[in-house]
Amino acid sequence: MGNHRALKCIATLATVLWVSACTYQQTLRHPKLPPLVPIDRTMDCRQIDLAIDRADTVRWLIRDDGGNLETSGHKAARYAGNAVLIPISLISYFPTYIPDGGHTVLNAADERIRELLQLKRDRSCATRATTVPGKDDMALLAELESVQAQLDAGRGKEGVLFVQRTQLLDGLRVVPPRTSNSP
Amino acid sequence: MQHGQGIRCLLAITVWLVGGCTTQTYAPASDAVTRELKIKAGDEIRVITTRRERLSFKVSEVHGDRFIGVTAKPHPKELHPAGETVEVPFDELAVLEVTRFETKGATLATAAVLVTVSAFAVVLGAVPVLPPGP
Repeated sequence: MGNHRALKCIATLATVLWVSACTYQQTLRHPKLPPLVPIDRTMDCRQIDLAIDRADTVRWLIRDDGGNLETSGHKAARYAGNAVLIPISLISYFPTYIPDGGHTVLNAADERIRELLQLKRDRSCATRATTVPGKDDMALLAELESVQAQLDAGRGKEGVLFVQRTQLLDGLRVVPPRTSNSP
Repeated sequence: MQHGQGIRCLLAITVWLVGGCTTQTYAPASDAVTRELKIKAGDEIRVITTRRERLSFKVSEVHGDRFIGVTAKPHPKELHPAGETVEVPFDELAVLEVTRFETKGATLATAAVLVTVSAFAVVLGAVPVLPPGP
């Protein structure tokens, strides 16, 4: 009886996760950005800003397509759901699984941006404005590092910290206006 | 027997055409990396620029630092209508997706499928099962 209830619970949770994962639809395949390699650390300030713009654009694409970070709890539930869903779907000739909602690619983009901002600070490059009121990108980095330190140490609620990190990075860049002729 | 050969021929052509068409997405870290992708005139590409614009276009010219092309039928969330001339400097490229036909990949895929199918046919003795041609 207990097993039956647990199975029902997992099935319900899997359905909820599957439906919520549907909000993440890739309009084109999202690239997973690599962490910085030694050659990246030779970049000058202009190149670092350009690399930040590029990484931020990839991150924006993921967010615009519905990507979100996934807490450990959600991940565990997704794994449990997949353990049930995948065999059933294979038997029914309709292979499916619960995806991670863009967590992997978004997390990789977040990490690359943080590393680039740290490199920028190490080089003492000129700061840039952000869309977060009263904060330039270096002030935003300081706050980002504080949130990340809490995440790494396992302090605080992971979900809340992920939301804070996401909000900070969502506001990192003031996007230049579009011109009429070229994109 | 001729019928069987026809089926195999059709299968090979289908696999060659389907298997050779590949779509790859890149996040070029520099202009040099973009040049290494060897995008050429005639390629259809989708890009996301650092101005957060989504574009699909057919490349008409490739310069040392930019692509020039004509927009194709827009994909979801793309704002530019088809038929517009656009210029995309390499330093504004954040994501690039290219779909093209690769002869080498197509041939390898076809060979792999044909070898697999032939092996199954030999093992199962499927060749005599094929109905004789007229």
